[in-house]
Amino acid sequence: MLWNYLCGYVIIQIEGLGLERFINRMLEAGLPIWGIRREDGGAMTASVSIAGFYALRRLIRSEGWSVRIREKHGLLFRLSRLRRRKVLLYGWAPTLMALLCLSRMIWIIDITGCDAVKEETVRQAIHAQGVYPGVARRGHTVETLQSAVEASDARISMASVTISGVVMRVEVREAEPGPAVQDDSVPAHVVARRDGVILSVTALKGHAVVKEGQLVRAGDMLISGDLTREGGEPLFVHARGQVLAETVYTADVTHALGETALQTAAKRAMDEVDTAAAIVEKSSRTILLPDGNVRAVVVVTAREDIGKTKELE
Amino acid sequence: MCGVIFLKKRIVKLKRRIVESMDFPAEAALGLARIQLLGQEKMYVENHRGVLAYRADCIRLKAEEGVLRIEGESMTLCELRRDRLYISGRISGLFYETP
Repeated sequence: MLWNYLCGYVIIQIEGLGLERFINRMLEAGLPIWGIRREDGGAMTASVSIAGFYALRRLIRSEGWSVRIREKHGLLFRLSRLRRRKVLLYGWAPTLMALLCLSRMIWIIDITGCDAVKEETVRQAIHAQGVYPGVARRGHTVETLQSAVEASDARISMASVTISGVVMRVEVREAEPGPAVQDDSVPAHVVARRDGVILSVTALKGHAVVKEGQLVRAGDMLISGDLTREGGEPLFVHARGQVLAETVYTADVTHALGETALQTAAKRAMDEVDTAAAIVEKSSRTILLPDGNVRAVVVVTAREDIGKTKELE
Repeated sequence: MCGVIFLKKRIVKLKRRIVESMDFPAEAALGLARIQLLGQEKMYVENHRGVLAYRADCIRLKAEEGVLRIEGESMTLCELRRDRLYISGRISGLFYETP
């Protein structure tokens, strides 16, 4: 049945006398015929293959039988309907060609791992090597591209380039910034980063100039690197030490009536607090102003080392 | 004329004896029709020699051993090949017509 469908067949109606002879002629000619059915009026319907139908017309020429096609079945007839739709029929060829041609090019350049380095510098480094969206995939070695990317910026420690299909993946690994080098030989003081009340001072080098409970302002000297004695030779050291102090962060936000004033204020205050600081206390207050706005004040008290090295001129 | 028929009959008899003595399948050696019935609805005939008459209620087939008449209702010749055919419909009877 499937074979018949693929090759195509027609259901014909035959009219005339002695149709059994027609059947026998088909048999003798070896033409396949099936589904023979006698109609009430004496006519007969049968299914024959397309090749069989053309042969059959020669067989019945002199006999006075009339043959009509009732139905056409099969894939071939379905396809022949496409004959009028040329684009649909032949469109696969240009489509395939376009697909083949376009798949030989690089269309997407995917750069990942860029943090400090700008993606644009990497892109330009690749472009200088002649690789941009729409360029042919062949003729580029991954190694030269990798070294080009690595050379484009000093912060890039390693780059890997892989081509998969039309996508070129550039993975950039940036060098971790090394710890800040402290030059102990340069004379320096320890000064306050921000305002605070001193809790304790531990001078490892140099001598402390503030005491517990003292209020300091940002920029005030905490541990002095000047060890010159009265009447002696000038002596400067690179002062070091820990100065714990209680610091206060405040945020004051006025908003139109709503919940957000307090939340915004709290977020703003917390954003400001140094990550190394230990939070001692948080307090907040909201006030409804006479003009209908809400004012929120958040105060965060923290404990932290407020010392900062400041080199002497 | 009479002698020819007589000779033919003798040849057939001789053939039959040889086939029987050698235990050959008769349908292959003698060309007898081999008929399979599937209930009342399907019938499979091998070694037919052509269709003599075909109506929805009666089919007459030529076979080596004579004319085979199949009676039934709304019978169709489902598949028709040179040596075999396949009838479906409602088969009620199967007869050999004596010449």
